[in-house]
Amino acid sequence: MDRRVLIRYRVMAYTTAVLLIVLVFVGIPLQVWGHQSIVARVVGTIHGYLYLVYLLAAFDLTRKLGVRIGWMLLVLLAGTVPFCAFVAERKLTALYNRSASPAGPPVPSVTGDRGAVTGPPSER
Amino acid sequence: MTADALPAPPIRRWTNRRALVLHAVLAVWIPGCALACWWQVTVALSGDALGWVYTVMWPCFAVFAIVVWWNLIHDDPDTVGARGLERLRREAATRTADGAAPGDGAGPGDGAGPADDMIARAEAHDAELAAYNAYLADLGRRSPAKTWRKR
Repeated sequence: MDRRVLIRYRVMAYTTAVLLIVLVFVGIPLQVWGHQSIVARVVGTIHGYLYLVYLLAAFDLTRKLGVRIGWMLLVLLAGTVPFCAFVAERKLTALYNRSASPAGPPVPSVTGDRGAVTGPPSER
Repeated sequence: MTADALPAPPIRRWTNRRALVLHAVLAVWIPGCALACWWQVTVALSGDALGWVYTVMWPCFAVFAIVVWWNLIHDDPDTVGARGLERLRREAATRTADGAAPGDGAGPGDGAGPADDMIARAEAHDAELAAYNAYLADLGRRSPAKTWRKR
């Protein structure tokens, strides 16, 4: 699988996770107790639209990794719960690394040119 | 060809268990998005401009759900991504274990992997497809190699 799919997801996971932490632990308290809603409004809007991009990246990655639908939904929802996107990102990266370098024999390519496209991405 | 003895492939794309779960989730999600969108319209109309931001966002979530639903309905879990690769590896392993050298012109029907079974079954039910595959195989046998790499 294309490693860029993973990279895209990781960038979006970190971005939305950090924004969500700022929103929940800075923006909301300021709005509730400080009566300063500007942080929550700006960060909330940015997080909302970046979360859409996160959804696309997460769906692309989980689908290509063959993750089951239940786990896929959890990964998608992880972008809305503080800290959960970090966990999901770690799990999916580990899963990617496992599936990229399995113990099984390599897949023979059509031309019989063994090993041309079968190595893990790190060796390419 | 032995494919006549094989049963028809049980493709129930829209009514298998997985698909029904997906329909149910979508049937809850789309009205939910519509309600949330309308709620945000009322928020926006009551004077809070931030409501317009979410008025646009909820339909986006609905469209995303439709994209996911459509893709998952049309995915065969065993042929997409890492699991598909895993399956190819298993097939290659069994084929090597059977003694046939992989990739040395083994035509359809020679191997015993699930993919060959699927092709054989599909051809058994579609004479036109079988004829076209035979035509392609014939072309493949007759045409010179389109590569300068050593084979």
